[in-house]
Amino acid sequence: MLYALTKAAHLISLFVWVGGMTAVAIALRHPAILHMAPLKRYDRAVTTPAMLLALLFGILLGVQGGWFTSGWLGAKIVVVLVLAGLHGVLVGKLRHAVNAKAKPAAADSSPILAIGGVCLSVIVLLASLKPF
Amino acid sequence: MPLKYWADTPQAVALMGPAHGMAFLTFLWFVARSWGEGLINGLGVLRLFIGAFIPFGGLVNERWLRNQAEKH
Repeated sequence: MLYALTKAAHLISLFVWVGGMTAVAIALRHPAILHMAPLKRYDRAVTTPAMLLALLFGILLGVQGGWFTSGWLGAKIVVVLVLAGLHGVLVGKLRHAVNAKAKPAAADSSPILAIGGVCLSVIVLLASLKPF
Repeated sequence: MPLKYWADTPQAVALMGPAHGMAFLTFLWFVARSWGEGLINGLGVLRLFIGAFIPFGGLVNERWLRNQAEKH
């Protein structure tokens, strides 16, 4: 029961985290200065705590399930590191856009959204199939 | 790790391992954010990342970061 609840909390945190990342990535691609400050506040209040909770619940799941000796979890952790790094880059760009203030930043054409989508797909596949 | 191997107390690693993992993830996140914000460049990212794996590398990088902060 505790494992199932931890898993639910992990998934809820992950959905909120990825949703917040998507919003920031789209806002940076179509920059409008009025959207940046509220997004920055939302990220600080919701998305970043959701990321930390997703990581925390993930570690708890690994400890409860004894998964830390499994190869798939090692691979998943590497991809999660990339996803967390992408979120960090997004927040950095968002902070830069908010601090610029005078005019909307140039549209961000980096493929962060696509890379994030691939990372998320690999994470879900590794966690559900546990291939090795 | 010294407690695990020299004092036969593996519980310490079970407790501190996840905490250490979270701290490392948070560190990487802040490095990525600083890069995205333009506070450090790619070489700075590499320097901080490698420094995290070298014992006491953080002390050297801390001084470098302080110099960087004074420049900004």
